[in-house]
Amino acid sequence: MSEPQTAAALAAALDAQAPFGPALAQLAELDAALVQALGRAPDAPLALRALLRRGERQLVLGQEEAAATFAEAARRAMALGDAEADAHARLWCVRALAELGSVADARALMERADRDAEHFPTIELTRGLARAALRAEGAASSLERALRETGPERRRREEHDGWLALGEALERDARWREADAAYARAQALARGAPDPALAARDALIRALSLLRHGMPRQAAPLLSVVWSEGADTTRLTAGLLLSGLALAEGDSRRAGPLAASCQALARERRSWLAYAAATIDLATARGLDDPDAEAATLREALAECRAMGEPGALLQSRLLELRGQRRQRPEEPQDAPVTDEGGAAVEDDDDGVG
Amino acid sequence: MSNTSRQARRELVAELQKKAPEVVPDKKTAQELQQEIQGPDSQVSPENARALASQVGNAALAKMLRDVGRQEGPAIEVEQVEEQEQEEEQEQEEDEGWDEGLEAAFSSSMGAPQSSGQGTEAGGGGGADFDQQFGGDDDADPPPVNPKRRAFRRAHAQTGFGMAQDKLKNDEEDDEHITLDELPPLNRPEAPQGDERLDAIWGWLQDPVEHADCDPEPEDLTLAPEGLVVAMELGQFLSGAAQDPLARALGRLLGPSAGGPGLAAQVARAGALGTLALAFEAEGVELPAVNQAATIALERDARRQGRAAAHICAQRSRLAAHFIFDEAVRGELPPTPGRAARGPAPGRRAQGLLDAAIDHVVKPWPVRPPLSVARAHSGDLTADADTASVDAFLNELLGQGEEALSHLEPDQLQPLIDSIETLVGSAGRAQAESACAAIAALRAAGAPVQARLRAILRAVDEELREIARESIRVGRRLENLVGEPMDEVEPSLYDAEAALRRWSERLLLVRESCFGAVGRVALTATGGA
Repeated sequence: MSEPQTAAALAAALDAQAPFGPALAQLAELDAALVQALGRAPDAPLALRALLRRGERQLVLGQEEAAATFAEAARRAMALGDAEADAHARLWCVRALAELGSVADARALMERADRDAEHFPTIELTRGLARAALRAEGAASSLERALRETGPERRRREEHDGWLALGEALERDARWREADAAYARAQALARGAPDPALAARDALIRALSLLRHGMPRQAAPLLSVVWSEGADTTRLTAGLLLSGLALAEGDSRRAGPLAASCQALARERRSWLAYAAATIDLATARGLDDPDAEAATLREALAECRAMGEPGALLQSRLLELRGQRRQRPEEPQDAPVTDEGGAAVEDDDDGVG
Repeated sequence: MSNTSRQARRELVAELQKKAPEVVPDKKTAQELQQEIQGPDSQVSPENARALASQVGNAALAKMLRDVGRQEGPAIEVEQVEEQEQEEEQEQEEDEGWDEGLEAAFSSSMGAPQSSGQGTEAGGGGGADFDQQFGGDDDADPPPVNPKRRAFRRAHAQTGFGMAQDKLKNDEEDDEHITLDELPPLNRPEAPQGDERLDAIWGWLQDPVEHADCDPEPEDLTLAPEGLVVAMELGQFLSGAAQDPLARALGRLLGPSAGGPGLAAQVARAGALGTLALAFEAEGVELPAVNQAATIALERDARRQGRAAAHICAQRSRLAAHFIFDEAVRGELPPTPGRAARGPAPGRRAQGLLDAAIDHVVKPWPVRPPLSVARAHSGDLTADADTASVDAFLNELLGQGEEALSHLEPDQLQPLIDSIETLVGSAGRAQAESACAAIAALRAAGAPVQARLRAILRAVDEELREIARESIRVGRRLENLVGEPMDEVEPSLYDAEAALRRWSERLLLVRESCFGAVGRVALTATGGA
């Protein structure tokens, strides 16, 4: 096979895969091989395509070099006289600058890039994503137009990001039902990639939106998916929300095991507020069946976290609440007398905390 | 309303009203009690608090307690002397009054050169110079997370129930306080690991009493509990500024949520979700920067205290960014023994997040671009420049001859003069905004950065004064042209408009650079450990 064909084949292989999680490593290898092939037999248009794909991969990985890669691509496109590729690269550069922290630089570049892109409908998706990254006007309409039709395989990641950005833009416009549909499309693309971790994140974003809009029943199945398939941080987030929902319905049988798992996960991460939240949920769940078990669970957890250097202030708060509730319920059996610092019993009264 | 908020409010109100301290004889002097309270082994007991309150007043005591126990220990109830609604109303009136009074003070102070304050650190230069002077060493190792702050909080949090007062106690029960069963021992705190390094919101939730709604009073139910307010504040910041979509989505949800009964459960869940949102953001941005940005964003009092300090400085005719900063943090932290070591400058993403945090706290006012001189005489002397040019265009279309303007008239200059006044006022306001940013950064970073922040503010102040002086000079030059033929003054008018646009852009750049510099100081400080 001649060198230029090899370079072309490598470029085609790059285009055949979208930069989702599992494919990223392979795309990096293809990119390196293509650089070597182009070193032996330079091909300016292929080099430009390679730069754009490399920039996209760097953006997905959150690497700040992405903006510089796209800037180089724009320069080469201008040298080739390819106006569409030039506009495309500059829009990518705007998006990279905006998503990687240089909003002011992105805005400065956007005006001309946006204007030039009007003539090229094929890059409408990149334009919409650049506008969305800047929270600019017209982002939602650009994305809706661009996402009407499915593009080639290499565009899958951009489409996924586009649906996600569209969902967020629609939520800002209070069109949350449409936003949910957009998030669902993003989730489906991630699942089909397949990128289970990304699909779990999309499911969590969708669930959070539903919870915000007072739809916990619709959110619960999504949270369960995240709980089963997500990475640690997403699992813990979903688990805390699920145990809360279960408790709100009085379902201690569902809440208890969830809270226990979240407690273990939080302890492992040394995430002490999550530990407190999970412990309080676990204690509440146990307390629904056995009133004495609630305080015992809290005390046990307090001992455990203080042994690891965490004061456990919110666990103390919950214990204070329980003591206060018991003092307000006269039909309850008497608690052990409360003593002051000197050891003398303190008179019971209707006010205050035990 | 939390005790922390109440204390902060009382402090600010008392500063403005300059209450005379109540003097009541006591066994110990106020100074002795103050040393006891602020000493390294302080046990802030209710008896000491009451004794000192009678001597120095509630506001001063609240400030001292805040200094000692801020974000760390349990809140000590200080006797309320005003109804909550009256406090809020009074503060609202004072908020409006401060702005009007400060506007005039800014404008009048900007023209006069300030005497140099303390310190001889280099200042001046353009906005970019703040970076070069105060940036970190790129070759140095990344700064370790400062374990001191969490260690201090943990040591202080050991007091637990034993020092907490029942917030529902009435006066007769002041002498009693109730302790529960002994707490299990707290192990010696280790260096932060895992999510412990994301302690921005953790630090606000360390008061067991504050987050227990054992028997809330009816008026307490009209306001969101402090723990939830802090979580919602973090959520508001992340929903706008976070770069990770999941962090933004979680930020939009932070607040009360479904779960078990009681305030503690709500606060724990909100705090946990807030920390997890920071963890998501830290997957793409350096974790220390995420934590520091969130810490800065939660310094809600910085803006109010900066404005209060600006008001005091204005009364003393010492209105400058570094003086405002000095006034606001006076007595709050021990003096800096020497320069702290610095870490490397943050990456672009981290810097973006820090800038957003400073903006979130300071909420800078927009700087309006300058207006243009009216080129056509519309016949309506009160018309602004835009209306005058539209009228002139319509007159031309309709064939109505416009009044010939042969000479420059005073009313033509009015829009430009107004713009100059606005620009000078904006420069003055930027002094206070810069000081507010530094206050937030100082609180987030700790004491050893005070000198660095002050040096930045001195440099910023010089820049702002230059902008104000040059703008005023433009105005004076224009006033001298009144009555001159229009043909001759036209180039000068264009030059003046261009100059004002440049100074307006320069003001924005100086402010942006200042915020960026103080954010980097907060991030790169190592606490002198």
